[in-house]
Formats: sequence, structure tokens, C-alpha cells
Amino acid sequence: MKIISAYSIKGGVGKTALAVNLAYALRETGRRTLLIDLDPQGAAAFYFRVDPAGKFRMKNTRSFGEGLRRNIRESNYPGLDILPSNLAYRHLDILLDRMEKSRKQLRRVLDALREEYDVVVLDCPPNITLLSENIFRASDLILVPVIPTTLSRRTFEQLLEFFRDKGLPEKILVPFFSMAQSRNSLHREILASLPLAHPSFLKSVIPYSAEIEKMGLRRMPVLASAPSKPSTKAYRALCAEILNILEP
Amino acid sequence: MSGEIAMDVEPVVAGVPQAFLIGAEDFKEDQLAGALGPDFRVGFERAKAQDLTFFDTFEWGVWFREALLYESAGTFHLARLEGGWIGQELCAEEVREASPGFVWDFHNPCLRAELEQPLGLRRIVPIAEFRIVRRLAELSNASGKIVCRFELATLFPVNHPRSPFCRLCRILPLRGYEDQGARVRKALLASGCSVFAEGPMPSYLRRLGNSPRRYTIRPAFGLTPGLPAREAVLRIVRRMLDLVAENEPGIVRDQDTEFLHDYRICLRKIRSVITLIDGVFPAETTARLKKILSGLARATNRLRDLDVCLLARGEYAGHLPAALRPALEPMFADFEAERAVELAAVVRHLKSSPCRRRMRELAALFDKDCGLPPSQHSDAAVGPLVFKRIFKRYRKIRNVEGELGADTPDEAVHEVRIQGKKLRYLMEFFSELLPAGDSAPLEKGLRRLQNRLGNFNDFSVHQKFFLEYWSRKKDEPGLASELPLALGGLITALYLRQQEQRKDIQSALAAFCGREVSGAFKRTFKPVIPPAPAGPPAEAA
Repeated sequence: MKIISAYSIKGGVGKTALAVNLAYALRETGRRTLLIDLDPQGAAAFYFRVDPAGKFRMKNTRSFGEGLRRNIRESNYPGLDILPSNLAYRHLDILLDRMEKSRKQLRRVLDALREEYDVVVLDCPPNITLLSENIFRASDLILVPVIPTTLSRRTFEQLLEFFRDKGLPEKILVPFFSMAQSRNSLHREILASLPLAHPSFLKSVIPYSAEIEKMGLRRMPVLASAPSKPSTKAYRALCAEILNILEP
Repeated sequence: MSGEIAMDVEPVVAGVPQAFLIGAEDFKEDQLAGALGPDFRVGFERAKAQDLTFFDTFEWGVWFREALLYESAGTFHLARLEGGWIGQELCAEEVREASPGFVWDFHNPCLRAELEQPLGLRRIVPIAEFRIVRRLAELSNASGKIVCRFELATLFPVNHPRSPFCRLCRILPLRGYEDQGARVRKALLASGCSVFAEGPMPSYLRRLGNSPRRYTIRPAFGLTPGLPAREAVLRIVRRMLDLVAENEPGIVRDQDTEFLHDYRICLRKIRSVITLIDGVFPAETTARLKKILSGLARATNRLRDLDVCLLARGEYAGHLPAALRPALEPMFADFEAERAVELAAVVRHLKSSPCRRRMRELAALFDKDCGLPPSQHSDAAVGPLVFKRIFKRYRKIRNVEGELGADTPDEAVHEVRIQGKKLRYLMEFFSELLPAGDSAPLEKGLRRLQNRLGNFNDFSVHQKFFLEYWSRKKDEPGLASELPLALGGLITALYLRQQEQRKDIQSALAAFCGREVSGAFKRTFKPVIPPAPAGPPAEAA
């Protein structure tokens, strides 16, 4: 079971759109996929029309892993399940803090799901907390959406710095351009220069797209609502590129 | 039940199909929506009709592995069997030239892998034909989230396309929405549907009088330690005789080679049990039975040898370099032709009056009221008697352990195999009497030893088989010059493999006769001799 995280320190960069569409694209390849919405805003689950549970159902469970399994919801698309966000996740940091070796607990917890899923996609909250550190240590790959702007570049480099400071493996950080606009000259310039400084950038570029913006209205991935639009093709290409990295 | 619709209901659990019987002639979309109320939106897909032919083996190998193999419109489909419903499709393959019969006839690697265990060497045969009209619906909540799927299935016998055999529906709540599934179930029950115990497939098969049934040549006989030995042996033999009869039609139809294989095993087992538990019948009866059973088995010896050889042709070819492999093909063609002749002879034999008479004689001899006079062990309790025999048989194997070496003649190794087989049969026949925990490791050790001895014997027999073929062919004019090369290579390869087995046999035998296993056999099976009764107390002087 592979764990792929959609992560950025900065909000509004297309992180949730990535998690939702990537999960859908992975399911299209026949991989049993679970999308875990770790962002308390619950947008990923919203896009799949999964209402947040009133309460995180943990009563009478023997382990946190079992609790996670109990809260899984099947999406409208066979082969893709969702673990919806819940206010209880706000307490996940506290919960992990109480556990021993708390920076590595998430991987152990998610291991309880390895028989059921081929891939787990984590939609992560935009901050650096104990939960984030757990995510970094649990993930096989961390996808970082970068809008081709100076500020986003700076944010990505801050994340790299954090990885170096903490001795985390930089190679699992995989940036890609998100919300790119080819008509914007600054975007064009950064699209050309940044991969030279950071060769780990994916070749696939997710364009700025009205279709992606409309996901909130349609409440479904663009891959399902607009199967032949450029943004859909871009997500599928990105998925193929990621699978090449994970399963060379 | 024609004209009714049924649905499966058990407590609603994710992934477990539910079936309900619906009383109405048809189930309209708005009827379902009406039953569910405003909280659900119902989206029906268009009805899909399929004419299916459902396949399985004699042993129902696919069915009992919770799968269904069916052909529809020129394509074979393998799907999950979900509580008697045709479930998720696993793989499919278009029929090419001929309809596949065996696992190796399929081309799709997924089908081959999925069917390897369920089919083994068995041939698939058509079990039932029917038309199924399926209508799927998605039930969504106010947010447009599908919370439950619904399937309506109508089955028509293939020769009565207008008279439905049954209408059934099932509800499939999505994971995490089991509570919604329970609401759907309640609404359906309130609207006049009733619970139905099984899905459409078992229901239809039952109507055809062809319900899946388990087949095994290792059945339970309902033995208890105190049962008189003759009664115990009779129970075993009667069941085995039933199995002999059950396999005969498959041999006659030449459905697959497993029928003959099982037929011979059952005959051998009958022969073994009356010999191994000697004294349960009068000596002359046992001798007569042995003669009949040997005769029946002997008539099929050559056919079985040819079956074994032809089944292993790929393996044999693998022993040779690629350039020599085609040289074996004319030999296999000879064997195939000989097999056809031999099969016809076996079929004639099975249908012949002498054979039927012998079968009737056997049935009469083992009848409940066989009228045989009591014999030495006929009334002895079977438990202690069998334990004594098992221990005796084990000691026989242990006695030859030290004699086995690199130069031991094949015949002597074969003799160990025979002793091992006798022990295995005893433990198998009377497994109900054995303490499960204690005997399992002993059976495992014996199986390990027997597998190696079996391989050794097979390699030896196959060498003789090919040498005999060569001695018959060598003087024939126009023989391909590569044949002696290929046969020589094959026989040498088999000889080398046979020699490799010797070391394995020695180590398996040493383990089987070692202190641990030996102690366990002693503890479990050695007869306890009761202490001699104390004499009368000496009178006081």
C-alpha cells in the first residue's frame, strides 16, 4: 500500500483539487484507493458529496486504526472510498502527541488498512504541526502544488529547508505546477526557471481552469464531470507520472 | 413462485447482498420511490437482458470458491458469487475457436490464474441455461450521494422466455451507509415485499434439481471408537462403493481424467480397508472381495498410465532442450491414439455383464444384512483395533529406516511407499477416531514422506513406460532419427530426478522415524496393556 500526500504550507494552491482528482485517477487505473480528508475544512469529502459525520465514531474500537476503518465511506465511484474530515481531526495532533514515538504513529495506524487498499491519498491541512511531521514520515510521496509565483516558490523552498533541518528524506518531496496560466508572463518565466533549480518538478502542469473552480458546484472530480477537458488530461498525466515514480 | 419478486434479507451488513420477494407482478420505478419516501432519489438504469449458460466442474469447484463462470454472447465471464447473486466481474474472455473445456484452454492470464485452483484437472460443463433481466438502481440522499444500490433480477427458463421463474431484488448499502440500507429494507418490507432465503442462482438450480453439492473422496463415516469393527468397515466400504458408482458415468463420457483417478482410488481404498482391518470378515470372503476389486482396477491400469503420461507431456518436454522437444510429439500422438482404443475398452468393460455382476456382488456382500457369519474381529470395538493396527504399521516403517541408502533397489524403496500408503489410509479412514491435535503433526510428517516416495516411484515408472515404448517402436521402419535422442534424454533426466529424490526420502524418513514422531505415535496409538489382576491375598499362615 502506497501513501501519497497532497501537501502545501500555503492554502488555496489546488491541494484539495489534486487530492480529489488524483484519487479518482488512481481508481480509474484499478487501484483500490482511499482518500483521507485530513483538512478540518472537509473540502475533499464535500467534493464527493460525503457529509461530515456528526461525530467521529470511535466508541468500542480496540485501536485508532479500527476507528478509522469504521468511519470510511464508499464514494459514488466503486473502488474509491473516503475517510471524511471531522472536527475530531482537530484533536489528532493531541492524540498523536500522547502516543510514544509520536512522529511515526500515523504510518502504523494506516498500516491497518493495507489489506483493503492499494493506495491511500492524504489531503493534508496547510500548516506544519506534529500531524504534518507524521504525514511526512508516513508518506511514500508528498506532492506539493506550486503556483508559478514568487511567493509560492518561496513557500516550497521553506518546506525544503524544513525537511533538511529535520533530516527528512527530500526525495519524497515532489513539486508540480498548479493553477498555471500560460498567458501570464510571470507564470511563464517561473515555469521555465524553477524546474532548473529543482529538477524534481513533475513535467505535468495543472492549468488554471474554470472546470476545477466549478468542482464546488458540481460536487464531483473534474475527471468525472468533464472527462475530456485539458485539466482532466493533465491530472491523468500527473497520475501516470507519479505511478512511474512509485512503481518504476 | 412464478410472477413473484423476491428479495434477500439478512441483517443489513456492508457487502452482504440482501434478497427480497416482491409480491407484485412487476416493480415499477415510482413504486420503489414511493416506498422509500422523499428522503431518497431513485435512479434506475435501463434493463439489461442476458442469455447465460452457467458452467462448473463435477465438483462445483468454481461455485464453492464463491465465484460463477458463465458464457454469454460468445464471451466467458468469471464473476463473484455474492450470496447467490451474480456479483462483480473478475475477468472475461471471448470464445475463440472452440469452447474452453479445461483451465489451460483459456487464454486470459487472469482467468487462468483465478480458475487454476477451482478447476484443477477437471473439465467445465454447462450446468444451466437461463435468461436474466437485470435492472440496477442507485438510491441517493438529498446531497446526491449514493447511499445504496438496488438490483432487480428476473430469471426466465431458456425455453419459456415469457414465464419468469422468479423476480428477486437485493439492496447493497454502500460502506458507511449501512443505516440507510436498513431504512431501504424497512421500506421494502412495509410495501409488501417479503424476505427470501436465497439469491436467484441457487433458487434456479434448486428448481432444476441440480443444487450444488460437495464432492469428496475423503468423506466422514460417522465412526465412534466403540462401534463394532465390521459395522465401521461396512460404513466405509458402502460410501466408497457409492463413490465408485458416482465416477463411472464420467469415465464413460470421458469428461475428464479425474473420474478414473477417483474411481481407482476408491477401489484401492476398499481393498485396503478390508485388508488392513483383517478379521472383520471371514477369510474366504476377504479373499473373494480382494479378487473382485483387483480385477476391476486392473481393467483400467493402462488407461490410467496413458492419462498420467499425457497430462505430464508439458513437463516431459521441459526436461529436454527446445530442439529435441518436437521429437516427442509423434510419441504423444501414438499415446493419444492408444488412449482412444483403451478408453473404448474400459467403457465396454464397465458396461459389460461380468463387470455389472461383480458390482452387484460387491453391493450384496457389503449390504447391511450381508448375512456373513461372525469372524475374529467382527464385533471388536473399532477404536482400539485401529490404533493397534496404526502402531503396528508405523513400527514396520521404522524397522526399514536404517536399511534405506543410496544403493537400495527401487523395489525396496517402493515397498516403503506401500507401507506408508497403508498407514496413511488407516489414518485417513479412521481420522474421526484420532485425537485431532495429536495426530495432525504425524499426518504432516507422513504426507511429507509419501510425497517424496511418490515422486521417486513416478520417476521410476515413467522411465519403464518410455523404455517399453522404445522397445515396441525401435524396429519400426521410417522412425524419426531424433526420437531415440529425445527418449534417451528424457529417460536420463527422469533417472537423475529419481536419484535426487533418494536423499530427500532418507531425510523425510529419518524425521518420520525420529524420537519426536516415534514418541508421539507411541503415546497416541500404542495399546495399553492392562496390569495383570492381583491374585487372591495369601492366607495368613
